[in-house]
Amino acid sequence: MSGTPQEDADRIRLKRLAKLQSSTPSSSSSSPSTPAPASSSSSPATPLPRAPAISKSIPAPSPKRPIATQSPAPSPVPFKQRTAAAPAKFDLEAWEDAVVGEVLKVTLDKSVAERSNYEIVWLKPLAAELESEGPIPRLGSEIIDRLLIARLELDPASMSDDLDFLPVLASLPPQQTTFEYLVGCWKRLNLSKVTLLKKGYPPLETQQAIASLEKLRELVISYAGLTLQEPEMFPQPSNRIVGPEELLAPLLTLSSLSSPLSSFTSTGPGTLGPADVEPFLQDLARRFEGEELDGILAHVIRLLLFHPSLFRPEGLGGADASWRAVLAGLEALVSVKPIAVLITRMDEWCPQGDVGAERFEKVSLLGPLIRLGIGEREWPVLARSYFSEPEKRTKPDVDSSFASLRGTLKSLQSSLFQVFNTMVRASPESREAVLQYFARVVQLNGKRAGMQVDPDTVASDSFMVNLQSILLRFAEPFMDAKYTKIDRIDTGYYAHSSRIDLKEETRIKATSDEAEEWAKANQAPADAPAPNFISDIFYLTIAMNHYGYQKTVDTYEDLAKHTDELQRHLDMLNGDGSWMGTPFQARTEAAINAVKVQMSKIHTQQLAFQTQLLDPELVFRSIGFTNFVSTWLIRLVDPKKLHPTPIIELPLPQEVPLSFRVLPEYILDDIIGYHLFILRNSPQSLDLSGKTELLIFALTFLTSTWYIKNPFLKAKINEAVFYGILKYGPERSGVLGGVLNTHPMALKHLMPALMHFYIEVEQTGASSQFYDKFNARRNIAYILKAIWDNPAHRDALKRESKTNIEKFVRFVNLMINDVTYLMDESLSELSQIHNIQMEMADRAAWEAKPAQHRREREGTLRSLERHASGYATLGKSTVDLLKIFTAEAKVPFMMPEIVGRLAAMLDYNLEALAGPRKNDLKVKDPEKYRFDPQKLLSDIVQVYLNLSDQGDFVRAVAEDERSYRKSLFESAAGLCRRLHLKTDDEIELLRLFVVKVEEMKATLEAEEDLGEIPDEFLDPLMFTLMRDPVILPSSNTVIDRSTIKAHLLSDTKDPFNRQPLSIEDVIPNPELKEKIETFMSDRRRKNTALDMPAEEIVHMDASAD
Amino acid sequence: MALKRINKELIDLGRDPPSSCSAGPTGDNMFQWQATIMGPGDSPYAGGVFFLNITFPTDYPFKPPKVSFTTKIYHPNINANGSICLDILRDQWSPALTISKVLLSICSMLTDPNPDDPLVPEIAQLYKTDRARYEATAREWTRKYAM
Repeated sequence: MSGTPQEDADRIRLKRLAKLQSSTPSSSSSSPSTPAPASSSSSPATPLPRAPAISKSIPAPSPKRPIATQSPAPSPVPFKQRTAAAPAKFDLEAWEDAVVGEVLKVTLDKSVAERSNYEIVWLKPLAAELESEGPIPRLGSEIIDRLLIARLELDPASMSDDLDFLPVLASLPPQQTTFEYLVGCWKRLNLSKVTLLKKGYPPLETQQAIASLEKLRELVISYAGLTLQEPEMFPQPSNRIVGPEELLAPLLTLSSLSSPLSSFTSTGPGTLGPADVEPFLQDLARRFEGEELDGILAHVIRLLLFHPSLFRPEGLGGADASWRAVLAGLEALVSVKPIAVLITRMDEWCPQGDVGAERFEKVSLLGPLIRLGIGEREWPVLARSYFSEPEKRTKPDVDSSFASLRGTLKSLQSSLFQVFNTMVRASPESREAVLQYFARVVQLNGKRAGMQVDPDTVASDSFMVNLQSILLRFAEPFMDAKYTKIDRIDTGYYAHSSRIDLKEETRIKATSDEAEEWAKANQAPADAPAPNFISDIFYLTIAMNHYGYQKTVDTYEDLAKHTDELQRHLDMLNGDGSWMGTPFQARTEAAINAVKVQMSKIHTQQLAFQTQLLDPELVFRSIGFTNFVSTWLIRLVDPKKLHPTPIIELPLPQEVPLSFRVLPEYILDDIIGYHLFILRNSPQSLDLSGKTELLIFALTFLTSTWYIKNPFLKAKINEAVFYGILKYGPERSGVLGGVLNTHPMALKHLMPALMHFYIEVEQTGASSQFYDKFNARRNIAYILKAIWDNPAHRDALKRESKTNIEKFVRFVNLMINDVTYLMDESLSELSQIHNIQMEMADRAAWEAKPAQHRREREGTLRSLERHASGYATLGKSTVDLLKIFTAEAKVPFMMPEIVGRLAAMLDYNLEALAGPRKNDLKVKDPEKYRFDPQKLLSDIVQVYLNLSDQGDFVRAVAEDERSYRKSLFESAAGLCRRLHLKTDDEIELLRLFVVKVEEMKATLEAEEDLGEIPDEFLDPLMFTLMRDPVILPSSNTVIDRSTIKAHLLSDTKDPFNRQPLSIEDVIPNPELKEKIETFMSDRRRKNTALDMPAEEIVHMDASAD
Repeated sequence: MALKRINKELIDLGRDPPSSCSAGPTGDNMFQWQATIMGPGDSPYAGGVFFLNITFPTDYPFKPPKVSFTTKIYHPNINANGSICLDILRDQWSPALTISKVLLSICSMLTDPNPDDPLVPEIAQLYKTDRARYEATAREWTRKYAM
């Protein structure tokens, strides 16, 4: 301290006043000084030197003034309070004198202080100062600022040799901070106002009195704000924490569900109670604006939102529920609009610059609250305390953990939504800041959705899922059941807004160049308004879902795969138990235990994920949004742009709209991915709503597959329908069973859609297409079986087989290919399994083999076993399909390019199942490999029976040079009879069929023996005589039409140079055809002339059976 | 129905046998063949004789023949069961290919393995990282099982 105390005091006061005035042009002139009606306007009667009075009760932004322009007047209260014509019963001045004294607890009169036992502080130095200026005034508006400063400057720790004044200093509360004193003033002020209003003075007087009180309030709040920001300006007790923490403490007391986070008690006279906090904040925000308010509150906000308790490992599970305290404080802050706006204006709201995605949630203001969750990775303590050792927990135990944790999450998420929502509504700037926040998270986490992503480099699961739940709540208002707002969504958003960057994203069906061109062509003109809030939320929710919730769902689902692998490993370790009692026992047991511990750990993670991901409320909201997006997408491709009223017409037009093609593929992918997740984990959720939308979505894109480029996406749609028919709980036909059999769209389009897709998966272009197709077709086979009994679907199939014969033939062809391949694979693997099992069965010989040999054979057996069940299942379901289709539509199976291979395949499999080597398939535990030879035999025989009345089929069987034998059918019939697979009538029918085949065979043998055929007449692939030679345009090869037709059914390329080819492209070769016909008739003439005995053979054979 | 085609292939093989391969039916069954491949001189399989099984599916030649090694061989694209990972035996098959061409492809695969589409990832890994050790093992297996 330098200079005299008096000089210092003056200097400080001037400084303070300057500071205060800089924000409020005339802080003390705002109240009406004349008995004019209570307009909140200025007070023209007062001769103010400069600035017009601006009422602070209107939070209109006042221009901020630089400190320098304000003349530092010793008193900012240059107006005189006139004792207007007040009624005698209310003396305003007397009232003011009393109230100011009461509120500030000060007096200029020693006796008053003495009477109060010095509770009221005698401001002796000020009294002296005033006395020097004239008669000591009453306490009133003119001098309140001087009174307050004088009081604040008193330091209980200071010394005085003035004996008069000593008791004053001694009676000052020694531990009271400036803030506490001011809060006390503020509370007494509020009380005075209540008392005043109760008195019922005439309106005019009441108004004047209130004006006077408000002036006092403004002053008190001014200094309260000041001390929060610069606590050292006035004497403070040395051992107290002062400044921003003083406001933080009451903010942390607002939640009734949380324990106090500090020793702070909210009941003292100088402390803000829970009911006081909000009005106090309101007053602060009314008094200060813009950067002034930032200066006072920003640090408080930081202290609150980065409160260390949010970073404790127990997170949401902390016993003191500290997060609730923080959240309640935040809610109180944002309930005051200017503060809500202030928060979004702070640098930490959405930190810019080089902040990694993983750090963003820790350094952005709301991050620490949003990232609270249950995930085992981020919150291991919490996850373990609820879900450790899951194998020992009962279902009610787990369920109650779910319920309680979900309840907690729900209250976190809904409070956070309220906070964001308040901010969105507070001002256009804060709304923009909120949208930027969401967009920033999306932008930072671009790689989060990748296949191989290090979780430590991206935002946490909980953070993303909570944000998703917030966004879903924002989306709710525009998702009404009638889709009335669906057209508010800007379909050119990705061109009109740069919020979401799609540079790295694959599009549904467009190259990145096409997408860029589209964006350029659709750019909004410079003066166009930005996309509306609905569009922002719609697309941000989609993006957040992709990088957040959906990715977390994938992570969760991967855990199940991991568990399966561990289970397999465990099975292998357990083996046949032969390690028990051997020297390997200890080691094996240790290994088994290690796997079990690992599995238990994963189970804990799964339960933690389930808590969050399968929370019924989140699921319900998410299904709602997913359906909305899928409806919106279909409307986008609807030529009428009206879907869902009326519903889309299928199939879609050939031309795919560009606006659809350039959309990010993840929009589609996530719709399907989410449905799959729900169908697998919580199908009942779809029962309430969404199954019709799923059906329409699936049918739309399965009938019109050219709308989507990615083959895996299409396969996933098909997979979703498959999961939809799996039974769950009491619902035997799955969640989609009902709609698949009743919805008119399904009855019309499902059958063609499945057939179309069955064909399409043959060639997807993916490197794994060879194996992928089997999975897709297995799903189709299941779906077909599930709907087969419905006559409406069968009618659709028959319609298709007649009106779309070419497609149907392709379908049938592929079905036969599959049966051929799958049966071949599964039967050959079964016979290998049989061999190894036989080898092992001979215990003595087996144990005599070298250890290495045994190990290898065991390894081979295991890998065979893994494959065999897959192939057997697929084979069985395809044979089943063949059986039901041949019963319903025979014509397509009789096409020349089909029937021969069908017959050869059936005969071949019949031989394997009923022929002399059928015992090669006898394996131990056939069920383990899903091998059911009786069912297969029965189904294959049924196919023969279904087609036995078809002459072309009889001929094809007779022509089979490889497997057909009469004896084979006899032993098959014998097996069927013995195993009761077929009725006597059916067996008789089979016998009659064989008779016909034998007759045909005889005819054929007699028919054509053409002798040596010139090479030029031979088909280059089959080496048979061509009947209808054609030329392939690109390779120039001459080939028989039937051969190339058969080839093209499975492969749409020229076999000689792999160029694309279709049957329409082939060029007939009439000259060669004529030459061949001449050749044939020549040879025939010769034959009939020579070979008479042929007749005999036919006769003999026909009568033989 | 493919009998004429298979016969023709057999005749062609006899007439113009490819170097270092041979193939033919095992018995009366024209649809079940056995083949041999001589380890190529410029590969660690040199000096070995490898036997293979060939089965023609009923839809041959529209679908590929099933070919597998019966002699054990250490190779990134051939597993312990003798299964071969070769695109022309899967979805790159064309009916214009023949057993002769398939065997030649397998020969060239012995010289130049394709470690990027492996059937036995461990061998592929070794092939990529430690060629000498891979070759040593392959030679040892050849000596042990194919000579």
